[in-house]
Amino acid sequence: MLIRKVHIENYRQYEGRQTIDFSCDPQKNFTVIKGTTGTGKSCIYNMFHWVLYDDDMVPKSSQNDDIEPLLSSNIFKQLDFHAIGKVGVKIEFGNKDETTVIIERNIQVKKLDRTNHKNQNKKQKIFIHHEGSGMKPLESKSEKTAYINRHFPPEISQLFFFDGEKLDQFFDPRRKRGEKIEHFIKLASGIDIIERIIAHLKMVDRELDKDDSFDNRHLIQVRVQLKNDIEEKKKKVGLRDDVNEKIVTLDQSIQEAENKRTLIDSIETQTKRLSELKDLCKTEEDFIKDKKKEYFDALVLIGPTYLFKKELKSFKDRVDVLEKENKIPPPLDPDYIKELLKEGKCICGRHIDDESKIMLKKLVETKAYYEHSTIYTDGRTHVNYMLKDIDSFQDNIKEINKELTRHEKKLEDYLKERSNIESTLDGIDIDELTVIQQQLTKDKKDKEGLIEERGSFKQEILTLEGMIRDGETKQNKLLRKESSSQLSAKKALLIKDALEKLKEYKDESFTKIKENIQKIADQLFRKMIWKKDVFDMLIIDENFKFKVMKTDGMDAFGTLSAGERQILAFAFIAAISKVAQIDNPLLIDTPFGRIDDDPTENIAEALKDNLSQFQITFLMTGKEFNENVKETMRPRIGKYYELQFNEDNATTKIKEMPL
Amino acid sequence: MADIKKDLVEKIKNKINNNLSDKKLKNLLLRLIDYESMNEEQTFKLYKDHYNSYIEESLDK
Repeated sequence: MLIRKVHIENYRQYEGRQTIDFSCDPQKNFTVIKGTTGTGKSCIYNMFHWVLYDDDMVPKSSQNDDIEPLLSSNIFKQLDFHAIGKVGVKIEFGNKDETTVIIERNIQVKKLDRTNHKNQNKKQKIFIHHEGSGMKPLESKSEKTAYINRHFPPEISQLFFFDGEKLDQFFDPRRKRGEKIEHFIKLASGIDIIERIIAHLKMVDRELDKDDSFDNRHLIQVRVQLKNDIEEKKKKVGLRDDVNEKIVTLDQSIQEAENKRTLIDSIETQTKRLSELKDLCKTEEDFIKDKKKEYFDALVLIGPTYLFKKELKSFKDRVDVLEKENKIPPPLDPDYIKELLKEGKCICGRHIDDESKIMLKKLVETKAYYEHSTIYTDGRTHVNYMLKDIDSFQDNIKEINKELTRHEKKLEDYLKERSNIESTLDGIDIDELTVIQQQLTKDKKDKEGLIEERGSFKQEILTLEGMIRDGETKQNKLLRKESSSQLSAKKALLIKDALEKLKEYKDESFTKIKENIQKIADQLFRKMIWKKDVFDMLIIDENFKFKVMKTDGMDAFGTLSAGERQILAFAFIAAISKVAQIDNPLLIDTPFGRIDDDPTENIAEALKDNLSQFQITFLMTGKEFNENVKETMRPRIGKYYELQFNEDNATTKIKEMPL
Repeated sequence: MADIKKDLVEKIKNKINNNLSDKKLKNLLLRLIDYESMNEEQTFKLYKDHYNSYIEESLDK
């Protein structure tokens, strides 16, 4: 990966829009930007940090808006209050032929007053080249962060952006352990990921331990209790079923008895009726008997008169006719009759013959004639009475006869009904029916008892079911816990294996990587260092401290000159980049900044010959990029710029210069 | 443009793929490496569920 161009707009002293083209020629992999102190060399170094990590490398304690703004001071000065000045840096990365990634950051600086400002609308944009569709922006902040973290991991930025003046920080000489070196090796080798996994796995494992508090005894207790409850329930259900069966049998028996009871009821009714009928028949018979007697009595009484009724009627009718014809003689005094006898003449003038005279004399003598002179009328009256009596008797007899007929019919009906009932009841064992009735009563009572018993079982079963449900819930919970515990155990085992394997990889890889880095760094260091007879071997010890072993067996690290340490740092960067296969470009600010006495041209020579795989941009002072160095590096330099600072307006122009 | 993290992760994964025969363990390590390489430093609350699910999934392998 190469830096192809940097477009700067009003960043610090770089007023207006300026562009730096970086050398992308693999044969001329150096770009040199020369500037005297204060012209904006480090500013270029810083702007990379700003664009990528939003860090303009100004110490945090002074990073306030009221400190000098990012905006070119000359532009800021010219701004009206509340006016806005734009600052932006755009870096193009890619290969020799084309730009594949653009990362830019822009900000608006609002001038509040003469010295104060406010930053606003800070934006980072990343465009990625997609085959066929050109440059496409990354939309979300997380995408952008992820991209930067993957391609320019901030934690190893010192491997790309190297500040020669901060060499001490790189080697971290104040610490007992070479933590930074260790950190770089880990980050550059990916071991940091392994370490993170180890740390996280340990945390998860610890959490598993906390969860794994399963007590098997409790599960056994619950299981035993549950088993007992289930058995008890089974027993009760059995008992209940028995009771149910009994009830069913009883129901059948009751039903049968009930059916029979209907018959019994019917028989009872019929028996009762029979008894009634017997009484009724007797009453009727008695009544008929009495009536018949009455009838016959009446018949005897009236019978004879009835025989003369006709004659009586005839007599009466004759008398009526005689009366009507005035043929009934009036009542005569016997003396008158005597006179008539005497005269020998009748009232009617007819002569009374002797026979009549004799008879009349007898009548007069007996006085019967006189005494019975009203015999006709009186007789008729009596006859009338008699006739009335006869009619009355006759009616009475008719009535009696009618009544007799009615009662005889009644009796006949009773007898018929009685006969029917007797026929129905014929063959029925009333005693048996009584037994059935008694059994029914007993069955009913028994059923009531059984229903009560069943209710009791039902209640007990319900209680047991509740207990079983609770037990099952408990058991399931415990089983889940047991299962979870078993799973936890399996998980713990897998974690243990994973931790062992990761540690093994880590140790193995780390040792291997460290050895590789040490080997390559040693080769490069000894290749680059000019005192070849003095230094024998470069070692990265167990504390990640460099040991530069001299031929006499002594460690010379503490006595290395700044230039020698610079070489050591480059050797390490190159080694780690090679081992980790990092092909990012190097931007080295003041590479010889801490070097006073060493032959910089030797270092330049070493860099030229040994770091040919990197695109390197050197930000150098004039002192650093002296004629000797220039001559040494010349074959590798593809682009050369000078920073021309204008003291009047404190602005810098980047000017490409011929070598 | 090199994806540094990706390259490093691929190297580790290749190593695990080539050297590890235990399927469960291999699966777990590869999943964890992918997870950690795709995610920044996470809080326990965030990563524990992922870790647990990867572990459980690996146990099923």
